[in-house]
Amino acid sequence: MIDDLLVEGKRQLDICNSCRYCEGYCAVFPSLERRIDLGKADMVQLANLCHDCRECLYACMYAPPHEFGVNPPQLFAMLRREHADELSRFSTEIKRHERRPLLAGLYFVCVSLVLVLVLAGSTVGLSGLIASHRLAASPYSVLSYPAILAIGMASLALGIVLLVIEGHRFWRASGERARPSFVEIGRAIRSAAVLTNLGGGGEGCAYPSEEGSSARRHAHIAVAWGFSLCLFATIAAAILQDFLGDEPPYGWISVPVLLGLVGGAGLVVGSLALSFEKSRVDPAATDSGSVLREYGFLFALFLLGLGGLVTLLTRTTPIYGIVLAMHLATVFACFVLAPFTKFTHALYRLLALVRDEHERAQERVALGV
Amino acid sequence: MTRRATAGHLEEPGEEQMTARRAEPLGGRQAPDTWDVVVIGGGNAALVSALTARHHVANVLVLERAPQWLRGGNSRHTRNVRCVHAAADAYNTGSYLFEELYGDLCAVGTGPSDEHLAQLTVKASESVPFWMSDHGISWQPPLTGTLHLGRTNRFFLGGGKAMMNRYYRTAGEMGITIAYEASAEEFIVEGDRVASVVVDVGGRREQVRAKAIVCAAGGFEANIDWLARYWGEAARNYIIRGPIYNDGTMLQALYDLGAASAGEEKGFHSTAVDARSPRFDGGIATRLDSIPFGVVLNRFAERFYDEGEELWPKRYAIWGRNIAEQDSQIAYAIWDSKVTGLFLPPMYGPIRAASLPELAGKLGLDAEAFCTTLATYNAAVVPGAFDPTMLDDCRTVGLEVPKSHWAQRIDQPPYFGIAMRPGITFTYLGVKVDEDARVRREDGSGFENVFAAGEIMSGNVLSSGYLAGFGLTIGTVWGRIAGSRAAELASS
Repeated sequence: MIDDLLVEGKRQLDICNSCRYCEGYCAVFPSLERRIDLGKADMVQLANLCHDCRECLYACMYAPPHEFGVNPPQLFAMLRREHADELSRFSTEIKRHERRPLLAGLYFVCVSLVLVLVLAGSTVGLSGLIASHRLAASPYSVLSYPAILAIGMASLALGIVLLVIEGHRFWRASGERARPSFVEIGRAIRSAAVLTNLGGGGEGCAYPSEEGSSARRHAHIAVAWGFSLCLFATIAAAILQDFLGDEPPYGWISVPVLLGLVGGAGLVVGSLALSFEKSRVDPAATDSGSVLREYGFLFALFLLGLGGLVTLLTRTTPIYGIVLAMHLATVFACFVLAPFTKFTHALYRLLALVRDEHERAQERVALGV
Repeated sequence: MTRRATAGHLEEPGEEQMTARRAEPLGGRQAPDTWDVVVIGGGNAALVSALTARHHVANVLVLERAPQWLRGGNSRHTRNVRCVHAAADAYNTGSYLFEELYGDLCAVGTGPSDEHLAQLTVKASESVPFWMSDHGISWQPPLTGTLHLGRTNRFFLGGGKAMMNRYYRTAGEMGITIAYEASAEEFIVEGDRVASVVVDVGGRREQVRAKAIVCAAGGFEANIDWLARYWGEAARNYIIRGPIYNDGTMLQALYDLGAASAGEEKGFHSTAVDARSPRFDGGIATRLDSIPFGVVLNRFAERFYDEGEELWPKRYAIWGRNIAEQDSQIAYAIWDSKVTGLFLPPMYGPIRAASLPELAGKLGLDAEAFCTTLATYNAAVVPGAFDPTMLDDCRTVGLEVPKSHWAQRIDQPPYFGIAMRPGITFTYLGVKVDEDARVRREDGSGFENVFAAGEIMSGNVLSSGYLAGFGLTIGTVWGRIAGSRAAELASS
């Protein structure tokens, strides 16, 4: 499958390379023009550098139904999906789950929930699940701090290890060995943070259809920053607790709670907005094979955000214990599942941006600019 | 095409047409009885005139013959516009004043057909970029691989189809009615004026009444039979770079009404394209830019024209004619690995060989003649300082067909070659217009309410040869003139 895509991709991009009108839209076309050959590594790099803004499809006089049939957004989306599946091959066990991703997700959440409940029962006692609010409404009245730390760190560590392996695989698969400088990495991070490549050269993003809007870019920023703020909230809590001796529960006007509120809201609103935009998407530019996993990923983000907000809001109610257990279970399951979901797009795209900045810098050196 | 009416009497429509008229008319139920301005065509000149007219009148109808996905005709394939500008800015690297642009125009081919109208076009070009920006067009820096067009030409973001998309969107926002797959077939005259246009909409014929009409329906390059009138059977070997719709229907309809012609019968913008191109609508991707960096041979393996005569943007458009005049309308561009990367790569890839005889064999040329030509050429090359960005001093000496610039020995394998055919972009022969874009009759009078813009009147300015980006200049300048005069007439 992926080999067919590579052949078809080369055919289409050879046409792009002899036209070049789309140069002003994003980083992909300048990157294409820097290449002499279009081998697998080049195609992987281009596919992941593409941010799916779709401007090029509507600008293309050779787009289907023209006989040349040029459709980079769809081509790149298909290539990203096929290649991501290649990179996430960790064992034959995993392969079995690939075919039914929703069930696999549910399975992991349930396993996680069972673990959480077991830990809760063995450390604090199951009564904490229903009566914690009468105590300190602190998470440690549901399960002990060492228990949370253990399962949290374990699942996070597993997720991170797998992501690092995937990132390394991606880097090797997208081009030659290279040592990007800190400046180049910094530029790539900045590009990712403001989504430069969804700017369409000033035209914006032709999403969900040709008319386009800035909704997607804003919603994505809400989700990405929302997610980050939630992470920062957890880190802030850890600092408050371990270094400043301030134990949870934290008041409404505290760093962890405020960060978590804003972050959670961003995740919920952003993921809903992205799902809404996705439902109206132009199928001509879309890879139908990716749609399910994209909705799945958005749903997971929605659950994470919603779970956190509901946990916060039910701190003084009888259901706090159950809600917290479910939220923790979701979080830990997501840590472990992340390397197998669309979460990886952040990693691969960032690495593609880093390589692109590195190539631009090298080109400037070669031209003596 | 025959005239449908004599003075003062309108032919009654037949039964089928009456039935059709009871169905939803063009423009829907709120469509006016008589449109203020009807624009025939859906490309750059057409949309520009429609947008201009709409600023002054309420009911503007655009009749695009193509389905929506092919709208815009040749304009889909454009990428830049050449205008006078006084200073450098974000999108132009330097100034380009009237004298220089007009001088460049005079230097291609045999100079402009009508000097007055040509000068008017160049002068009016200065406000074109501002008008375009005002109507939704965005810009981008010059494309890489376009040799120093950066000073003279302005590139719009995303190229021609993106530009047309923006114009269509602006047109929709302004309340202009667009009809797709609406093919204007003939005019109906009432006295001195053209009262309506007969339009074929998906097999149904409808009469569209108009106070003023702008014909921006393109040239006749897609009509091989018409081209064959002037070029003979050679026209069967031409490749048409744009879509099938520009077959000259409206041009012939105007001639049938007595319109005078402008431009030369054999005038066209044509460049070398890959012989493997599709017959229609290959656009930019199939054209070849390798010529200045190697040599060109005909099917007898002989060189026939100075490949390094001038900078490519000023010469690429005569190579179509050059190849058209060669036996079988075929020629071969030959180059070596020294010059790889100096021009955009050919879409289908070049033919590649380790030796010159092998290349000749792969291209189907006589190996002995091929090698003799190359050897003669190589021997005549005088060393110099090779510089593709200017008229350098690498040339040949003592050849019947010289190569004046960028001449280097072709001696470094691997060797590359491509078969080329003439690719016709658009024809120049069109209708004569005056300063107001009003179509003129053979007897010297003007049509009261018929105007023309774009390729259909390009023969008023272009005689032979072409200047990159100038087609859009003609279309935009004359589209604005036609649109405003048509609107003036409609509101009076």
